Amino acid sequence: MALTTGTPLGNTSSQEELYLDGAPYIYYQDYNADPLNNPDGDGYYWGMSGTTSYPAKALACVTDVSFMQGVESNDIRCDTVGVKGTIQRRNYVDIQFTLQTFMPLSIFSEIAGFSAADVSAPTEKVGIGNYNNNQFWMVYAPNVYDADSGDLLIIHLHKAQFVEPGDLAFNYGSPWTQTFTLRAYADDTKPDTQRFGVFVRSDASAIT
Amino acid sequence: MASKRTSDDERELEEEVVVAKEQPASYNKSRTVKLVSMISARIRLDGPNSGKRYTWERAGAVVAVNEEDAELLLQKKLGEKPCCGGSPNYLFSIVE
Repeated sequence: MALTTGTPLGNTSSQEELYLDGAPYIYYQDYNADPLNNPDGDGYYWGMSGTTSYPAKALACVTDVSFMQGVESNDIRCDTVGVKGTIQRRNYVDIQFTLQTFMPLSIFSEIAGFSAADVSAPTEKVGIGNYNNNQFWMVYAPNVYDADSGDLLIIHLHKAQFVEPGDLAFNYGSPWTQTFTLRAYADDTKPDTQRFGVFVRSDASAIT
Repeated sequence: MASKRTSDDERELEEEVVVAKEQPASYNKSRTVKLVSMISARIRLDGPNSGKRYTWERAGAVVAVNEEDAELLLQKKLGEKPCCGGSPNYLFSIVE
């Protein structure tokens, strides 16, 4: 009878009819801060808690947000048989976004790789110099897909940098925009299975 | 009668006089309050009342400020419209 319905025999699992929309919020914090769960009871490192020395920062009004991966793949090619498989290596994980807000400069300077800000009311100054390539950030990007019940999906990246700044577009009649990429690299202080980061889903009705 | 009234008056006066508890000697020395910087920037501000210049080098830096400056410094903030449901970016918090 299985042939009639087309369903496979035996034990099967299926995906949920659950569709997420909209981008996650994006928060970042100095890599030297500990994640909120460091680790949690299951050995996962994730979550963010701002401290006085390491404030957590929120990006306002981002658009064109996408999650990407830098994966190197090489086929295992046997000239006698053909391709028998592919060796894949994950080099980095990216969250790309377009920024539409540039204030305060003390936050924008960290995104753009400018100098640390000097604040002396009523001015705020940052220098355009060279990059501090030793500065890494922890990234926390939650997307609440059911606000009533508080169900959410979190992307947590351990050790990232802001890279590949796009053109800062001085648009007339619409907000200024600039595209950036948060690139998460392998963090060898974390377990092998979560070198780049962690996905966390919390949904009390679905995960029982 | 007159002398009795006088005696009552004196007793009332004595009851009204409260001797203040002796206070420690004051040497006019300003008290200080420790404020910690809450933002990732170098902050330089003049004390609103004392005129004294204070510098916080980074987030988490603690500086002892004159008590008379503390209240106004604690109201200082960076930015007007915080995003994402966040609270205003106050520059300082008191170190307990």
